[in-house]
Amino acid sequence: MNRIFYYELKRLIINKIFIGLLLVNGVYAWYLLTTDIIAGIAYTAPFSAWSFGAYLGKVMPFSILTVLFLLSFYYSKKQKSVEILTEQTPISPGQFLIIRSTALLVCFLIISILAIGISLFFYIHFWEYHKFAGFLLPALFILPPCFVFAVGIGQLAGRIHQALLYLLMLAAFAVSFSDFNGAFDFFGAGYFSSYPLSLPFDAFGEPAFEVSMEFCTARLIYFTGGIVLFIISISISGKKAKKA
Amino acid sequence: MKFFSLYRVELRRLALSKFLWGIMILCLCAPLLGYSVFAMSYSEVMSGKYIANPVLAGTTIGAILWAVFTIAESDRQHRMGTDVLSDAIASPAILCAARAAALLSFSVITTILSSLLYLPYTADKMEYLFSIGFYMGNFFTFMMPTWFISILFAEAFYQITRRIELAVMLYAVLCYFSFSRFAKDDYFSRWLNPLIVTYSDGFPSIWPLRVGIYTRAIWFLLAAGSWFFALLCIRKYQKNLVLSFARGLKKLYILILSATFLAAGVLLWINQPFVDHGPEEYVEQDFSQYPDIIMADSIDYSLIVNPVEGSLSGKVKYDYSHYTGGGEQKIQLNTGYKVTSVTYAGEKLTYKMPGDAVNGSQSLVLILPKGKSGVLTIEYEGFPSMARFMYPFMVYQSIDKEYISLNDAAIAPVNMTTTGPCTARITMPENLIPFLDYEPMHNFVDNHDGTKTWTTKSASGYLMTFYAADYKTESFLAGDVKIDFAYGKKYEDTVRNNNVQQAIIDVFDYCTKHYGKSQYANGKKGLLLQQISAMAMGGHATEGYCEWFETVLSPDTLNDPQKGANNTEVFIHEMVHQWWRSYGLECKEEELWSNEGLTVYSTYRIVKEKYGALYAKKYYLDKWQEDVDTQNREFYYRHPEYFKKLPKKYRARLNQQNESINWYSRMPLMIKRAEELVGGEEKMDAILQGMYKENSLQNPNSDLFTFQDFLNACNLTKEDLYLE
Repeated sequence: MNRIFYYELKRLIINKIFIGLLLVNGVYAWYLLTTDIIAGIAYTAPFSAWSFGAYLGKVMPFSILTVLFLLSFYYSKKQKSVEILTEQTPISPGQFLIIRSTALLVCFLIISILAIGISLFFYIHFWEYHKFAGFLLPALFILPPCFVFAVGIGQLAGRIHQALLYLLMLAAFAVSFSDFNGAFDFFGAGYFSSYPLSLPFDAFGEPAFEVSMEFCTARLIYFTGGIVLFIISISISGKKAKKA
Repeated sequence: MKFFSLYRVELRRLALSKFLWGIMILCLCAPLLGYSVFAMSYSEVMSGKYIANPVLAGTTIGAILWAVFTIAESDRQHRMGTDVLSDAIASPAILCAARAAALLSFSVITTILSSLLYLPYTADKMEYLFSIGFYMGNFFTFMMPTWFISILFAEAFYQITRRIELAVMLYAVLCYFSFSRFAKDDYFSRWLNPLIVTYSDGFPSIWPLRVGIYTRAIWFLLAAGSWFFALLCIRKYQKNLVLSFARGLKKLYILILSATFLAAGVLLWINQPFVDHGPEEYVEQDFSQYPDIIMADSIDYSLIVNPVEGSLSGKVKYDYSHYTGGGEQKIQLNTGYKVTSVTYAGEKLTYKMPGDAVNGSQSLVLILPKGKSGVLTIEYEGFPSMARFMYPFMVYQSIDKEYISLNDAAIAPVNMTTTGPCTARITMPENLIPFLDYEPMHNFVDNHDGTKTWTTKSASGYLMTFYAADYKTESFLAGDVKIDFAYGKKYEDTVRNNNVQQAIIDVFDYCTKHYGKSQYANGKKGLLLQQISAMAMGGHATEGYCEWFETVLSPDTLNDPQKGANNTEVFIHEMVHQWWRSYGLECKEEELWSNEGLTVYSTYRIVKEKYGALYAKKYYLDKWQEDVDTQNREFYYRHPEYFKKLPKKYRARLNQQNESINWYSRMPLMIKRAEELVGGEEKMDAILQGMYKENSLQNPNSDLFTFQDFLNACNLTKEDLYLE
């Protein structure tokens, strides 16, 4: 299992496409910080939890596109042609799916660490700001639901037809350009940019970091929805293998 | 097989493709979105709504559709596994070229069909404003070249990667670049969604088409260069990218073509003639560092305008017959002009142009010889370029068949002056009515070649502004003030039907009654009110002159009672400046004090009297309060200590934003607060009248009027006017 995981991870990471996309993510993150986040989101400080959450929400579309793109490797024609061989190994298709998703998780973590690292450098460099503990909560609200749901739906889409994965990428691209800012805002950038405007602000003019119950529920739904979709993918691949 | 036979085969094959017909139908439908949800220009005029928006929507959406089709078609043989066979029959590079040529041909057909499809509707909607040339020009300037560019990039990305998903991703990144904030206000970066700020109905200008053609040429060269490069990457003998490229290098001429196209695109971009290559922000210049101006006995300007090329050639003669002191002269000239000759007393004079582009002009340095008098003659010519800080509203320096707008160094060299007469002769198309330095020109000679030469004596040594268009001028009296009201002939019905003349008289009556007579009341000096192109945006006032962009007088604005302050305000605002500015009472510019605030407050009062308190509250008081509330909440406004840590460029942008809110919203709201504290509108009117009487230029010894002066006049303190 470990060897396969190591192999799958190496296949994704030691790859000029991943390195290229990682660079694009990094450049995009810096561009966002210096042109958008620097102004502060919803009249809050650029280093407030709201601004950081909006930043992560704005970085996410590119990160998720990268993950979906890497995921598309697993459903390419070449990959499908060798599936007959891999199905003969003692590892079940479900286990394969879990291993590959874990490899994707590592890629996603690398991209997220890069984006967060760049933002921390930005905060230290421009504002000499070091109190990063407040950033943990927005990161938890944004990163896990986005990744789990995207991989869950991506695995299922890829299993049905590879073209659906590209449609999914297109949908992610379109969602990132939409003005939606409600609790169900998938990437969360719209929500983090608009919700603080409705909150009372303290003596320093900053609203406290309190998200609505609807938003928490929505994040939970995305997270559990992703897991459910993932389980469905495992079950479909299991049935397919049995049929074969 | 030769290219042309392959091209015919590809044409026939594609013509039978249902996918292609689907793409063409979608491309034909795409402009429909421009009428509603996908309005890409900021235009409020008819040609913007019915030409720019649909063409831009069709251009952008169509370009993406063509790219999708191109990538799918490029991958078709590889996907079907027939590439091995076809490669054996024909050269893959020639096949690729034939396919690209066939796709480009179909995109041309679609452009023609699209332009014909929307022609009757557009012509019907725009009525007498419709021009078939301008309409078709938009399709062939924006739509067709952008589709070419998109097809070439898509094909290039596919041939380089030979992977459909990678090609799509690279194309998506390029699209993102065009839509990103980086390219938002940049004519040159937006390859997919060309930037058209607005068009003009009354003063049609092909300036946006000139820029459009230029930017399309840049991107076409870049796309073609990439496409040629991609030809080298076409996979051969089942080899990978690197080995195929190495084999492709044998056709060195393709590499040379690729490099040439790419270099040409980059060079065109770097050397674009539309905007100066100086700093992005406005630069305050220290003219005390300049050598003393040597006064000429007289100055003679001869300018010839060439609307076809959009260029101007000029000859200026400075008469130094009574001067022999010699010395250095530093003159400012528009960055788009080059000096062709400088002579002094009939002999050639050496000069330097250090290339220091600042605020749209560059220096011309020359040294007059000592002990010699004579006439200094400077000849120059070129395409006037715009100051970078004005970007992207660049039509202030524009020469067209139907509209000419030039300022300062774009007309003639500045920083030279005279003790004697100054004569200006301007040759231009006969249909245009010119205005020089805010005054109409009257004397002309018909050259019988489609041009007229207009002559005038200018009051100052240098020429400040020059407008020419198909104008109609009405002269009338507003009280004692003689008014010349110049507007585009195309607006004749609109002006008459909406009784604009009476609206102007009402504003003057209000200000005269409430503040006192303006200095034009003696009837000797006229006041020129002028409508200018919608592309100039906003309004402007100076001594004896007010101008507004044309949308202020458009039928939509005048007929819509809910239009609000945005457009109507400009109309009244600029006229009110005849009381509150250097030619009336001039305020000292402070953080919370300027001429603008007083003018905005007076505009509010006029609007309140005209349209009622509810209307004035909605479009003025509430808007000011909203702006002030927003500013109060801004992080950097609350924390100036962090503001200081921002990069200089960002600080300058925020300063500009704050200045605008302080003068146009916070200050009028403070005056409104003062009005309440002093006992109401009548009391405030009495105070303002007193201020105007005592401090306007009618009293030449008065100093600039400060915020403290205002507080003293109201008997209030700063704290009284503090806004939560």
